[in-house]
Amino acid sequence: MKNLKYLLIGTFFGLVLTKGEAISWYRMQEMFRFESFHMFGIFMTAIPIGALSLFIIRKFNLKTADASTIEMPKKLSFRHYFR
Amino acid sequence: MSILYLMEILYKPWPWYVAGPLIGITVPILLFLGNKNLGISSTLTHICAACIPNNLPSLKYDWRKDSWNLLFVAGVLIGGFLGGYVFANPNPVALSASTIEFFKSHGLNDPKGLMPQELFNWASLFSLKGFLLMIVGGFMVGFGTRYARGCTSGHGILGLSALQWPSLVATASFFLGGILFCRFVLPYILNLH
Repeated sequence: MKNLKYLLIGTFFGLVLTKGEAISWYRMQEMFRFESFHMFGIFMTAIPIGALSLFIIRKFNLKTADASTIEMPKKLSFRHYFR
Repeated sequence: MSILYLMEILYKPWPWYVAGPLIGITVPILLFLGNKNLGISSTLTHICAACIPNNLPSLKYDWRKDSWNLLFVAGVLIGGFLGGYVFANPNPVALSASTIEFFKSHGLNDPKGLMPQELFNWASLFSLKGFLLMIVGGFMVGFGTRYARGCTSGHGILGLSALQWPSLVATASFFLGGILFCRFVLPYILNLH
């Protein structure tokens, strides 16, 4: 089944979120109280790496594993929210 | 690399400079392997479309086209079970002293696992405190993520990575809501009996 890979990527994502304590209730309280760098460190590495990878994909017009054009995230507009 | 060392890595919590990059790299992994955009909360809509027979136009679409998303979230559950149960950190969470102090002053003396067992358990589901935290909180998460068309994954990771304005507004709003709630509401809920 070709969709099975998503189960594996999801497992990876879930494992990282829990082991990194990004979904920890304690860490969230600590973050909202600005009493630790932990969560902010996660944001400050995750988002630039995501952004950099999207930039590289766009810049070099990279293809997916089965050689199709990568579909970039749909451009959101605020008008979307006021229909 | 010995198996013992590997086990130690699995049981220990991972520092931000390991978890952050791995979370970020999930965005291109999903794009390269499946041409898919990272997101979690849209599955809530898919599950409604799949399970609830009704005539709402917004739920009349082919949710099977997005079944990859449901598998992805099923994987997140498996990964969460592995990280939070099978390879659970046996030690207390390494929180800052002031946060531990705040928890202690509200009767949460043992910050272990991913959330306090005193608050989130089956019995407390039927108390006002547990009802507010789990049922009302769960409803607000469900309603809010669909109203904003994304959660911390879709807006906070993918949307911000794609430099989308609405995602910045959404993430800033999540954050502001969290700060205000933690300061002004949570202490009262924790003091409920």
